[in-house]
Amino acid sequence: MAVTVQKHERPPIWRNTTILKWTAQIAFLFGFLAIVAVVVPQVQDNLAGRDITFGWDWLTSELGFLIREGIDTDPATGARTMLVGMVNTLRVTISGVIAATIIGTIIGIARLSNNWIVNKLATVYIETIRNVPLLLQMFFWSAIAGTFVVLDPFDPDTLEAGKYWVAATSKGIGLAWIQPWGGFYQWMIWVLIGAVLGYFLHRRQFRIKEETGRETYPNLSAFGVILVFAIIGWFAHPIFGFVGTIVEAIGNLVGAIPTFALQVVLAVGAIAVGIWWINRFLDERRTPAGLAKLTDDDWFRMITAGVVAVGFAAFFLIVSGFSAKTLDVGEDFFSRWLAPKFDSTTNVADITIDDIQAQVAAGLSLEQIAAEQELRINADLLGLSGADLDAAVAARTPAIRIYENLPEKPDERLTFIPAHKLVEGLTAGVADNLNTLVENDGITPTELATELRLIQDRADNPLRWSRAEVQIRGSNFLDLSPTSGINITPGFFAVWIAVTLYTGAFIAEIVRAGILAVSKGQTEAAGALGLTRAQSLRFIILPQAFRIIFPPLGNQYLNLFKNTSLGIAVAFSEIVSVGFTTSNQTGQTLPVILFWMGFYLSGSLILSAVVNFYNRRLQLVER
Amino acid sequence: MIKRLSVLLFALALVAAACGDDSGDSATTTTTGDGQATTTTADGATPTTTGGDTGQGGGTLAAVKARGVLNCGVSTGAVAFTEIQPDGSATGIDADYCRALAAAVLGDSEAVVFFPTTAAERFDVLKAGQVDVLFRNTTWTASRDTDVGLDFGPTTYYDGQGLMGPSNRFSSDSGPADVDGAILCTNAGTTTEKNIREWASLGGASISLETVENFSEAMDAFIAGRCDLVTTDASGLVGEKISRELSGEIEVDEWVVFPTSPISKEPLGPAYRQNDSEWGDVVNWTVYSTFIAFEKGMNSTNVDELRAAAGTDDGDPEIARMFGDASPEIMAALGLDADAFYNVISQVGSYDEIFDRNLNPVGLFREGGLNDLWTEGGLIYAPPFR
Ligand SMILES: N[C@@H](CCC(=O)N[C@@H](CS)C(=O)NCC(=O)O)C(=O)O
Repeated sequence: MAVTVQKHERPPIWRNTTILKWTAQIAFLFGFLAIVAVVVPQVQDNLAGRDITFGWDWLTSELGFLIREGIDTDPATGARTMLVGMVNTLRVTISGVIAATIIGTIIGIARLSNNWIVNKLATVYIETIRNVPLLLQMFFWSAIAGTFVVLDPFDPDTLEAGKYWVAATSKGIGLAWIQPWGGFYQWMIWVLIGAVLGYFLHRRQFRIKEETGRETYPNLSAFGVILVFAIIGWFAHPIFGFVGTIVEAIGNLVGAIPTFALQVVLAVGAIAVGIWWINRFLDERRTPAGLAKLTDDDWFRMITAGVVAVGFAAFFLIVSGFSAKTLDVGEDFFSRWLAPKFDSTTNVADITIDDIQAQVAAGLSLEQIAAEQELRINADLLGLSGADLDAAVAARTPAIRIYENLPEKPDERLTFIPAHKLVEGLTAGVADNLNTLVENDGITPTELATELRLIQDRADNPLRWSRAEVQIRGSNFLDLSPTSGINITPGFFAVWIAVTLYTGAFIAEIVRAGILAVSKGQTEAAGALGLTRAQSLRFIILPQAFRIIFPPLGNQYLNLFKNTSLGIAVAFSEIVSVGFTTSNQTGQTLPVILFWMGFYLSGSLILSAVVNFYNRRLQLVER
Repeated sequence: MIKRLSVLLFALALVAAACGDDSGDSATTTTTGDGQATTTTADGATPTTTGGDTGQGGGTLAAVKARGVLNCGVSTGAVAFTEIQPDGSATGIDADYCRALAAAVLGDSEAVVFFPTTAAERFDVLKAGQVDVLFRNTTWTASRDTDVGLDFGPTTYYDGQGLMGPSNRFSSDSGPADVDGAILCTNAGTTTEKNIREWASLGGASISLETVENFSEAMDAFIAGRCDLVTTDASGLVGEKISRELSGEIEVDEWVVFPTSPISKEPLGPAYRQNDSEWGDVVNWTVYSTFIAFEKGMNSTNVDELRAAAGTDDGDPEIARMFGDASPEIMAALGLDADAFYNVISQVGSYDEIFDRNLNPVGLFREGGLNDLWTEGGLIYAPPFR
């Protein structure tokens, strides 16, 4: 009797799950591409029908409007205009996130306070702020800014030109701030050494504490080491003047690397990272019994990783410009930017104090002098000489504008003496009359040059107070100096304080909830172990609460980031405000909207990536 | 904000739109008004209707007729040009031209819905089809005519940009040197912000520019000392100054508008979507009809008399043609009722009437200026109606 053996047959193609899965994926991909192929021309048709033009030329053309504040108030191109807006958005976001976290934590803890008044005040704050629309709050703060003292040189009752610790004026709020000064970078080396030593000391003390249970004060000792180095460095920083030579050498070294070498290194690096990733991936699936069976998904990931790595390698090899640019930037950073920071003195401009005095006496403002120096220093680079140069100086054309209009940009970069650098540090009124200062106040030309930052004396203190300054500008207008202290415009003020207080209220509730969510048993157990209240809060409650607080905190940061887009309503030049003007001036509404979407999307993704990264690290601690 | 959002949504909806229709008949979906009442909405309370959805390079005229009401884009408030009244109506030369157009197309000068728009959003609102036409202190420039994708009608007010500051610091012949170092306020999305940069840099002045959404905010900022000066079209500055002087808010000549000869040319007139010449003709000839009436010495009170006289043998044949009494085929070709322009003059008035009514109270006069008739040395001139 024959026994029929059930042979293990492969299923037919149409029932093979692997094949079905892959077919489905590929079909989906093609379907998606097909939809795109149909939709895009259709959209283009519709847009054309409505005379809504679509293009990106505006990114490179000049838009011709000024921006109130930012890294460049007279941007030369559309792209730069948008950049100014983006930087302004990020500025208010980052400072808002920091302030909202501090306020939120304090209020959140106050909400749990046993002190009746503190508790109720915190509740009132949260309830009011959370229930009033953010836009109204911005209007409110903008109106408050409108009540600050009006700067009028003809009104004896208002602020005079001069330096102030705090100056709340109709044109903005000035606050005193700590400013890096002469020996800052040498000093930073001391601080850095202190930080490294502190880190190792912290590790050591912590290990001993873990092993022996003896209190070794890891945080305190680490902090102490940094402080000691900072204090010694405050006086001893000039000994690091020689670092400039080393940095210079590094810069030259970077400059000497052939582009091709970097290309190869980067390409090899990309492949190596790919291999490392795949290897690790396989390792994770290796059991004592051998390699676990790989699913389709695993294969897919490994193939994607491989393709991405090869793609990067190919990019580095083909696009030599990337490597060349990287080397350029690297060399610039070391030789041009960092190295001069250690030189004992730096002559920025080829102009003597007498020249400056003569020009000031002739009625030129320091900004004008700076602009002229900028042109003269860069004359070769800009291809200007003789009459051309004189014409450019007379027309006060900014060097950057000529540079940007050059048909072919030279490899070298412009040397800037930002006008404010010249004016920085001057006492009020001096801008008008340097002579008086030199004659009456007995200031030596060298001191003056230092003040003007034409010479930077590295033997000076690393930091100094920079007070807010009400200064005279142009034809007798009073304004806050952009470079003394911090200068907060009314628009920035309204947006910043509104988003800070608003998000702070939400963070406070998150903090409160996080603390309450740690079960009561934990406190009781801590008590049973004999921990004091403070100890139990510090070692038992807060570490657990933090893990609960962190994820929703990230969401609040995202909200804050997006809420700054209301800034347009209070005349803060953030990305939406700047973009609106751009779209109106160019007629390119859709591209600008896409630009915004791209910016907010990538900003949000980066922020949540950071939050997720820390969140995962926190979760690891839990195990 | 709501309006801006709807523009945004509209743009996104376009991306999703399956296919475009050229018929423009979707305008019948409008829900605003019964064609009688003049509904005016303050900014932020715009009706949620998307208005006549008639972007496809044509068909605006048919759409407006089918809808029975004209959607007219005006400003959020510019003295003597568009003033939104507490009772919901709008006055001003721009508002009156909206009425004139409604009278021509629909026979009823009150069949208008006013859509207040900020300078920055106005072109999007127009191109998205929310409004049929803009009468919104809009300067005719080459780039708006081409790049931005609009068409322009005859200039209704020849303006120029000026600056305004306290008279203890500035005089009518102050120049760039006097504003060096100042902060200036204006509204975003205007020719103003480009002109001022050019003027200052040519004059060797370095200035800061604070841009706000509405011009009224620029005035607030100026009064609060957030900026040292304001700048916009001189008519707007004079309007703000005089109306505040009249209300006693400031003393007479506490502020001064300068320089005497404006820093730019700002021909203000109607703007509409490009490539809709049928609609363009209607808008243009409505404006011209008020010019012709000015030329003929007609106005809303004597129009009947002059029309009757034109019918006689020794009457003015151009008046007869314009009112459709002679050669009605022109009116038919325009797609308008035979007495469309009679409605304009009788219900709204001639150019001089509209001008004087709105602008004289704030101290703006046409006599001897650019806004006078061509026979008086001005620039107000209409092609012959034949
Ligand atoms: N004519 C200029 C400026 C138009 C403009 O915005 N003018 C101001 C002042 S006259 C205005 O209408 N403001 C009213 C508003 O902001 O809604 C242009 O077309 O760009």
